[in-house]
Amino acid sequence: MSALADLSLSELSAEIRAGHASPLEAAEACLARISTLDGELNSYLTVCAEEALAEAARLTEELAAGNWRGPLHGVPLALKDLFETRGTRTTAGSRILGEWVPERDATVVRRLRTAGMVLLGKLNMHEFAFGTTSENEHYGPVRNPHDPTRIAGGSSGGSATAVAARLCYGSLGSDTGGSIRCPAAVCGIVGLKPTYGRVSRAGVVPLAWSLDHVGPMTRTVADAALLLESIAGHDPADSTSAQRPVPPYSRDLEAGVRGLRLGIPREFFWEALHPEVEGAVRGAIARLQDAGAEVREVRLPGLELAAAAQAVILRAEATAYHRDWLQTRAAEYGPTIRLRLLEGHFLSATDYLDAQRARRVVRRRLLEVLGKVDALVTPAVPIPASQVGAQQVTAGGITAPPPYFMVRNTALFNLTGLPALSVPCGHADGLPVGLQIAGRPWEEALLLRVGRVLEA
Amino acid sequence: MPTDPPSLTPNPDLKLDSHLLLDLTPEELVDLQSRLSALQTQLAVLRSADLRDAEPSLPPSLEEQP
Repeated sequence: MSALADLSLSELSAEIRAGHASPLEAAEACLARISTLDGELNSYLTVCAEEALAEAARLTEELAAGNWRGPLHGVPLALKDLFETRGTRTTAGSRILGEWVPERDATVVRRLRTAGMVLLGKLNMHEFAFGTTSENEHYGPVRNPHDPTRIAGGSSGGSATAVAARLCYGSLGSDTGGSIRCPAAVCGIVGLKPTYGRVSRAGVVPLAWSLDHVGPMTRTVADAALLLESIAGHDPADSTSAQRPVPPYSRDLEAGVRGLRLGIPREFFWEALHPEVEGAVRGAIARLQDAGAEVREVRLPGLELAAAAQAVILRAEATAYHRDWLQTRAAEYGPTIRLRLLEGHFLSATDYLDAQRARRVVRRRLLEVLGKVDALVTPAVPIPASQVGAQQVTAGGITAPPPYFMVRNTALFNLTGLPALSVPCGHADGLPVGLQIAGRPWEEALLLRVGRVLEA
Repeated sequence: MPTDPPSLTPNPDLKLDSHLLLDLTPEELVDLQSRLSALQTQLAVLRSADLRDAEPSLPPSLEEQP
């Protein structure tokens, strides 16, 4: 049973297609692991055991009748608990939505169900996705499967832990400043934040509308490609959804990096960095170079402006969404989230507009650089996972709370809407390290190609 | 013309916000003050940037649409 859970999503898919494993066996394997391991890891907020087994049995019968829906047929997945799921509670990690049972599926959930997903349950997260540690003040912290005294990162920490601990074969997260890539990096899995507009956010509890992205979290690059193929594409229910065809992301995964120009930013990303994280990332860059990539240093000045714009837009939009609840149900927020949401009340409309103007400047500069290289490569998170409850962390001569480090390297690509991938690339203090690969709009396939080289 | 950026003040149209602030414990008020200080530093960066030719950004994907 455990051996079945050890397969990647793609491997399980092939086994199901070949008739060597059934959706029911796969669901049972995951549920057994959840029952054994998740008491400590705390990655699930809701386990839909009965529904999952019933759906898996239905999909098993469907296969026996000769109907194979595609690569996700009968694959057990679990979702961050901010995706609306019809008939299953969706808390967004909050007490305010603690008993909310949506009447509809988010668009991406509907697409996954149509593709044959077995939904195992809903996953713990930082409250309302407004944080980077997944130390949930209502439901307890998500713990890192590589060392349960450590955080799983956030805000999609439950997704990262559940995937890394093989409590599901893949998950979806949301990413407003790094909430897919950061937990993926510190839990040793693959996390992809696609281009803004690539994946629908309809039916996803928002944090900040103009920064929110939805993407896959998986154990392998090939799995991320498969999930992205299933969820990407235009959705009239999301006004920011792009009307562009969805390429076959799985097709060119083995194309390698020979001849690709990879840019290594000279500034910013190499400060506040744990030395063993730097070692792992530089090692990965050397491997890419050995595989034929042309590596060159690039200048990315003025990233302080990006951080300032991101901070203002995030707070203003989050406070706008939460404004009514802040007036009427403030005591139901965790204390930390409540303070974060209050910050937005101290910003003016002109502050917000200045931040949006700065956003255009930063995006223009970044696209200029990406005219000279095919992708940028950086550390995803500058430190390994910190201890649960840690107030301060020191790295690169800087002592600050863990959130300072967590989204430092990732938020730039939320502000600019550009795609960015985190893939495992080594260890620091015995814990996983992620390499971030970011690129031009709509070039997710290229990022996946680069990431695949590091798995070989 | 003032040369320094104005200090942070609560948005004046939100009466209930002051009520929300009154609900905070002394420790939370100190924490909030520290957060607002950090936010003010970010605003100073924005206000010192050269944004003359920049209109506010649309959501990125809409900028990519024909």
